[in-house]
Amino acid sequence: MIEGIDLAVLPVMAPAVGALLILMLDRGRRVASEDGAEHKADALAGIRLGFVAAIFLVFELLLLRNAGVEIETAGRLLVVDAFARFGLGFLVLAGLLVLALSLTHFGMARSRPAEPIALLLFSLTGMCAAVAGNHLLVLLVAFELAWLPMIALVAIDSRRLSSSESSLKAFFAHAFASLVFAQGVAFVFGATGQLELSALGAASVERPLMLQVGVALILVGLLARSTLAPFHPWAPDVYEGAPSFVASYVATAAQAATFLVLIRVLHTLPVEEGSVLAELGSRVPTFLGWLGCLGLVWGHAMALVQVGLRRLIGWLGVGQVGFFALALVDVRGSGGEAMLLAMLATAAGTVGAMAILSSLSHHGRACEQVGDLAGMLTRSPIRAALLTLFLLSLGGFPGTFGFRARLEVLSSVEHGGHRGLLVAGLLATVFALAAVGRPLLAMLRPDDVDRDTSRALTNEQLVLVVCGVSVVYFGMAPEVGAGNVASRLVEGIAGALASLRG
Amino acid sequence: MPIVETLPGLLGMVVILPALSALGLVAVGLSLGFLGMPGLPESVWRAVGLSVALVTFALAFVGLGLGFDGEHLGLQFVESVAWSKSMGARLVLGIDGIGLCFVLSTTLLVPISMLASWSEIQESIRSWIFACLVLETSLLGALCAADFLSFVFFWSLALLPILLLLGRWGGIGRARAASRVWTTELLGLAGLLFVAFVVRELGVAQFGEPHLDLSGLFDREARSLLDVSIDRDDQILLFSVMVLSLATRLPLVPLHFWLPAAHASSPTGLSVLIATGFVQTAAIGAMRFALPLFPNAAYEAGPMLAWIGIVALVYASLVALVQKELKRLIAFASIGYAGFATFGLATLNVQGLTGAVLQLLTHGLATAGLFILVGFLAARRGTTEVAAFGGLAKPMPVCAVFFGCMVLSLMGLPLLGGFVGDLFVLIGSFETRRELSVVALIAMVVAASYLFWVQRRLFLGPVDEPANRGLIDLDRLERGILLATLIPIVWIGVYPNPVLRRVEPAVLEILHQMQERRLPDPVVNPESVERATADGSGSEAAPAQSAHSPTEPVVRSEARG
Repeated sequence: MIEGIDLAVLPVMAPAVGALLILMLDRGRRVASEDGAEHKADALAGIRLGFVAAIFLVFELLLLRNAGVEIETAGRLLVVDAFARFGLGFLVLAGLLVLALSLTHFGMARSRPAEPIALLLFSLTGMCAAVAGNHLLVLLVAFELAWLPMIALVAIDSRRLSSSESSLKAFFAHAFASLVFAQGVAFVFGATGQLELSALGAASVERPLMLQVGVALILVGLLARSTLAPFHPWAPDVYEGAPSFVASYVATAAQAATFLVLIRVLHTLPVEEGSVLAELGSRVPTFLGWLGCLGLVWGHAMALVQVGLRRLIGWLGVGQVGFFALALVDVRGSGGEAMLLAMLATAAGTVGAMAILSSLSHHGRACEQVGDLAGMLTRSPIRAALLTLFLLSLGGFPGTFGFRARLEVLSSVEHGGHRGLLVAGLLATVFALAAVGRPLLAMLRPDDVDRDTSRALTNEQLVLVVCGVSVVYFGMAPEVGAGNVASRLVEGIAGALASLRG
Repeated sequence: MPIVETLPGLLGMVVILPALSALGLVAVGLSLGFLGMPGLPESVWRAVGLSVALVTFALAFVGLGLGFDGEHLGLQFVESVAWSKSMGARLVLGIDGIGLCFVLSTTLLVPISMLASWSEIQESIRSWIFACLVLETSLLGALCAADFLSFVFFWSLALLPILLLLGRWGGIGRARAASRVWTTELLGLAGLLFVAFVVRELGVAQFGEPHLDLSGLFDREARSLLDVSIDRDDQILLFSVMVLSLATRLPLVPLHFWLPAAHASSPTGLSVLIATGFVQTAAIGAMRFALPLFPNAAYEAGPMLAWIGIVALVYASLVALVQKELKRLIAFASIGYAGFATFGLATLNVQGLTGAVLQLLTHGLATAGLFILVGFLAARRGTTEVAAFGGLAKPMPVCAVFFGCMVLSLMGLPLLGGFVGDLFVLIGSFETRRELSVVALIAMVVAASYLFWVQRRLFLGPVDEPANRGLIDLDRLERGILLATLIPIVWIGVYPNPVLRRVEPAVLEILHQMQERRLPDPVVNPESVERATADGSGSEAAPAQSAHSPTEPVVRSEARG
C-alpha cells in the first residue's frame, strides 16, 4: 500500500484522459455527410483516433501491470487490489476489442469519428471506477458515468429507428437501477452512517432492518443493470438495435462491471453468526442462484424461437448472465472463479459472433436473420467455421471455452449440493445448443439468392483471430503446470478472488 | 504394459491422425491463399483424405491389432495427458479387446465410406473430406476414451461432422433430419454431463479430488473412477440417466426416431459410419462406464432392459415390413438389431456380453454393406423406393450375391458373422432368462421374414420395370468395396476365435469390476422372504443373481493365469 499518493486514480482515469485528448484532436471537423470522399476521410480520421485511444488503453494495461500489490486513493474511495486489477485488465482488453470493431462503424453513420471513441472511453472510465470503487457513492457516480455514454452509443446509428428505440429502453433500465441503488445507499447510510464498502460488514448497526433493506436494494440496483432475467427486457432490443461494437460492449464490459461489483459487495457481507447481515449473506447467494436458473432457462428457451440473429445472440446473452448468477450460489467457494471464467468465455464468444455479423453486413448488405446465413459455408467457409465456433462456445459445446466455463459453473453448483440447479443448467445448455443449431443448419443450406461476398475488414479479422484463438485455446489447452497461459489465467483468477477473501 | 504419458503414442496417433491431417490440409490451403496462389485442388484433398484413412487403418491393423496382447486383462496402449487440474480431467486413451474390434471396424469403414461416395459427392469435396476425417477422429476417440470427460468430449465432437455431412450433402428432408439428430443427441449429451458432474463430486467428497479416469484398469495402484463409491439410490438414478443418454445414440426404442430420417436423407458414406462407429460409441460407453460404475443398478435393471431390447427387435421388424423405401427399411433393421444387442448386454454374463459385441460388430458391417449397395442401386436408378426394383438378379447377379450375403449375415446364417453374435446372445440369455430367449428367437424369425421379403422383392422374380433391364452390374471398384466389407463378416463367421480371444478377456474384466464394486444387498427381513417365496414373487430374482456372482470371478482368475 502506498500512502498519500493517489496512484489508484491513474489506471482508472486513463481512458477519460484519452477521451478528452481525442475530442480536442477532432475539434473543428465537420459532421460527415453522405458524400463518398468525406466518408473515406471520416473513416481514416476514425482509424487515427482509434489508435490514439488504443495507446491510452495499452498505457492503462502497463500501469496495472507495474502497480503494487494494492493501491488506494485517499479516503479509500478507490482500491486497486488484485481483484480490481483483474477486472480492470478485463475491461481494457474488452475495450480494445470493441474499439477495433468500432472502426468498421466510421464512415457508415452520421456521426463525427471522435464521438463513438470518446463515448466508449468515457463509459470505460465509469466501468473501471465501478470495479475499483470502494465507496457506495463512488459506485453510484461510476455507474452513471459508465451508462450514460453507453446509452448514447446505443443510439449512435441515427439512421436506424431501432437504435434510438433500444437506447431509450436502456435508459429506462438505467434510471430504474440508479433509483433503486441510490435508495439502497441512503438506507445503508441511515442504518450505519457508513458508505465505505469494505467497512460495511463491521459497521455498528442501529437499525438492522433498514440495513438489510438497504443492502437488498443495492443488490437489486446492481442486478437491474445486468441482463439477468427478469431485469433483461431491454437487452435483446439493444443487441438488435445497436451497432455490433456497441452490442459487444454491452455484452462484455457492462455485464462484467456489474458482476464484478456484485462479487465485491457479496464478499463484504459477513457470514459469521450474530452479525446483522449474516442472514442476508447466507441467503443472497442461494437467491441469486435461483434467479440465475430462471435467467438461463428463460434466455436460452427464448433463443430457441428467435428469427433475428442479433436477438438470438441477445437472448443467449441473457442465458449467459444467468450462468454468472448461478455460479454465485457458491460465491465464497469455487463459484467466484467459475463466474469470472464464464465472463471471459462469454466475452470471447459474443464479441466474435458480433464481429462476424459486422463483417457480413458491409455495403448496405444486411445479415440480420437466421435465413441470411444460407450458403455461407460455400461463400465464406472460414467465417462460417468461426461463427460456428463462437455460437457453440456460447451454447457450451464441449471443446470450447464456453464449455469449460460451464463445466466450472455447474461443478460449483453440484459442489454446493444444488442438484436441481445442476439439472436446470444442463437443460438450459440443451436449449442453448438447440437454438445455436438453427444458424448452423442455415449456413449449410444452399442460398437461393446470389449474394455478393465481401471480405472481412482488417480490424474485424484481428478481432476474429483473437476471439477464435481464445475460444479454442482456453477450451482445449491442457492446463498443466504453471507454464502455459491457461494455467496462468486460472491462477490469476484465483489470486484475484483471494485478495477479496483476505 | 507401460503408460505413455505424452500424446501421441501409437493409439494416440491412430486417433488424432485423421483430424490432424484435415487441419493440415486446411492450413496448407490457407497458406497458399495467403501467398496469392490457388488453394489445394479438390482432387488433392480427396487423394490425401483417402490415403490418410487407409494409413490410419493400416496403423490400427498392424500396430494395434497385431500388437494387442490377448492374454492381458484391462486396457492396453494407454496414453494419458493432464487436461484440467481444477476439473480433474485427463485425456486418457486405451483399448481393450472390445475397443480394438470397434476401432478396427471403424478405421476399415472410413476409407470404404469415402470410396462408396466417390461419385455421389461432387460438390464441396474439401468440406466432405474434412468432415469425414474429423468424424473418424471423434469416433475413434470415443471408442478409446478411458476417461469420462474425454468420452463425453469425443462423443459430442462427432455431432459436428455428422451435422455438416447430413446438412450439406443430405437428400430430401435433410434439414429436419439434421435437426432431429442434433436435438436428440444434445439430450444425450446433457445426460452424460449430469452423470459426469455427480460422479465427479462424489469423488471430490470421498477423496478430496476428482477422479474421472479409468486408471485402475491399467495401473492397479492408481486411484480412479472405479474407486468412487456410489450408493444404491445414486446408482439407480445415474444408471437410468446414462442408459437413456446412450440409448439416444444406440438407438433404442423409443428414442430411435431420428435414425430412419437420418439414414433416409444421408449420403451413403455417412449412413455407413452412423450404422457402425457412431452406434458403437454408445455400446462402448455402456460397457466401459455404465456397467462397472453402477453394477447394482445394472443388475436390477437387467430384466427390464432385456424386455426393452426384445420389444425393440419385434417393433422395428414389424415396422420394417411396411417400409417402402430401402434406406428406411435398413434403418429399422439396425434399430431392431440394436435392441437385440441391448438384450445381450442385459444378460450380464460372459456369453451375452460377448455376443452383444460380436453382434454390433458384424451387424454393423452387414448393415454398412447394405447401405453401400443401396447407394450403388440409387446411383443407377435414381431412386431408393422398393417398388422401383424387382428381378435385379438377372441384370446384376454380383450385386444380388453381395446383397444376399449381407442379408443372410443379418439373419444369423451359420458361417457368417451374424450367426456367432446371435448364438452367443441366445446362449447367454438362455442361462439367465430362458423365457426371454424363446421370445427373442421368435422375434428373430420375424426379423428374418422382412429380410427375406426385401431380398425376394428386389432381386428375384421377373424384371417388371423396363428401366431395370439395362442396369449394369457392379464394377471392379464397387466389388472391391463390398468385398472389403464382406471379408470380416465371413472371417468372423468361419473362424471367430481370434476375435473371441480378444473380446472375452475384456468382458471378463467388466464383469469382474461389476462384482468388485457391487454393494451387498440390503439385509432382508426373513419373514418377508418367506412370504415372498410363499406367493412366488421372489422366484425370479434369486437365480438371476446366483447366475452371475459365483461363476465369473472364477473364470476371470483362470484367464489371468
